[in-house]
Amino acid sequence: MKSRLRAIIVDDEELARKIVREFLAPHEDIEILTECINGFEAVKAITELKPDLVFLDIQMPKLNGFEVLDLVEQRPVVVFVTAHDHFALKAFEVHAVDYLLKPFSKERFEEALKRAREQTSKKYQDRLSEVVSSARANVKPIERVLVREGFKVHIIPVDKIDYIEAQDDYISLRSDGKNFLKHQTLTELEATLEKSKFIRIHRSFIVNVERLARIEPYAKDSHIVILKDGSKLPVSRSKFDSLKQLL
Amino acid sequence: MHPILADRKKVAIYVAVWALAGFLLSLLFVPGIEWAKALMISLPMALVYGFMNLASWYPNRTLRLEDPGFLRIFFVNILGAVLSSIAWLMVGKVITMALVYAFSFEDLGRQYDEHASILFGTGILLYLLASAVQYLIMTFEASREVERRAYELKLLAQDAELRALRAQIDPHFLFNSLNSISALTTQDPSAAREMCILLGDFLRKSLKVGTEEKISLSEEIALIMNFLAIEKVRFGNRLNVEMNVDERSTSTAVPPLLLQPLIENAIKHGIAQRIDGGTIVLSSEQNGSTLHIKIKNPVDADQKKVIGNKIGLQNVKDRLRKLYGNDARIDTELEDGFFVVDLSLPAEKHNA
Repeated sequence: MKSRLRAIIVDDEELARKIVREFLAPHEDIEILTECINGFEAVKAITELKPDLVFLDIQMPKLNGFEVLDLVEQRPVVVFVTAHDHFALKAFEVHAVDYLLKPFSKERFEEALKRAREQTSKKYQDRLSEVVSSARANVKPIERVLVREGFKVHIIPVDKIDYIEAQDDYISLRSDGKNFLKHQTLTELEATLEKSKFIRIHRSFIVNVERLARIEPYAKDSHIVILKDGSKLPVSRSKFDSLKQLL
Repeated sequence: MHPILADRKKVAIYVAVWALAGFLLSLLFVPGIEWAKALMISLPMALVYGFMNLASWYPNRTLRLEDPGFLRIFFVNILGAVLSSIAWLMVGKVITMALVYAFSFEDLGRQYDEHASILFGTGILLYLLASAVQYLIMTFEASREVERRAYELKLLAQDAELRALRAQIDPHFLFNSLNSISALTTQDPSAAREMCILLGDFLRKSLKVGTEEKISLSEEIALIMNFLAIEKVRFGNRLNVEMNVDERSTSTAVPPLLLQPLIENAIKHGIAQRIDGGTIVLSSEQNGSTLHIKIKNPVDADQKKVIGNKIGLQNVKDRLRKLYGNDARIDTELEDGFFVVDLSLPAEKHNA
């Protein structure tokens, strides 16, 4: 006997959700937990309910489908549903992740569902991660950083960031006097930031150029930068020259 | 830069022409001076004069033929001719004196002076001739410039047509609409049929008006309403529309599919990005001889600038510039969470 599959439908259009619900109806082993009409709801629902399967639209208000996946730690099996997105289709093809093109037939839907049921391996999660990170890399330079805190999603515009600090597998973003923790590497984030606005001053620090106040010698052969709000950050010896040129 | 000096080939031809002039000039001297000696004076004189005459390009360029002041052109050229000719006579005298000094041609100085009046006349004629040729070149280049610009405009028009065609059938719009129909077939068959009819009407209308140069504003608005009715099926309560169209403005002629891409943007970058959607406001009024059209839509608070492709907006800008030059304006602004496009163009009556 098959175990029950818990599913969520995410689409901002009501009719688009309805057709997925209709096609799922004959599958008694699939339980539809909820429907989400935007990316925020989807992040909340996926984090809270931990579904096995998500039908995920890509173009949605606030957060798109990739951003939703970027923000959840435990990723479910995903059936992407999209009308037309040249970039996304390429990413799916490259990483062998299935998707449905609107409008789709019942047969095609069944096929996608059958494949989704087979996806449980670690390999699938890796391929999904590849799709998500290529979507992330596709937007350059980024204008905002998304951070999830519990069920809540913070949207932080990049120019509101003071500096970013690496902390093990996480990065800590300093903005408006608060720290936001995100599961991403500093190098990964650095690659998506605008080079003229953010500078890597240390193995563990990226700083917003506009926040820089001055640079001061610290110990022998080493320096620190002072930000406008008074924060002090260390400067690597190798980054010192490029930083000095900038100031 | 002088157009002749800019090109080595042109300089060569120009020098050759003046050398020939120098040869002919020597014949003027022949009654009084030996031909060989005459040539020694006339050839350098002609070449020097050739380069002196290049200077007349600069006053001529500012006094274009199409300007009304023909008398002014005439006097400026006569003055230029007299001054140049006098200067030229002096150059000739210097050359003659040099020859007298170098080869001790005893009588040459006197013989040159005897020819002064005929040289003066020739100098004036040559100056006027060179000036006339310059006007010919300028006219020729101006007409070539006009031709080139017309060609560029034609290319731009073709490009705009192509983009308009692409904008009117946005793949997102089409596929999402088809998906809505697919859902409706079981949920609400009569609504599915309604949607098919709306979509059919919209496609037919866009194809039809796409071939026309101008349509009335009311036709464009009908097309927009049709488009919005389809989008309303997709977006439901998230999409609302408010029309403030002044009756008198509806018979004005507008380029077809001018507003449709802007409405499409208002949905794509405005309504579709907002969780609760919003209201698109379309207003139009005729103010004297100007037609004002305004499209306003709310944008998402997290959206700092209007992202995504601006092809629709750029397309509208290009078309307006091509059709109306400086008589049409398009302004966009993002204010208080609303994106506003302001259009003004000459209000021409549409003869249906």
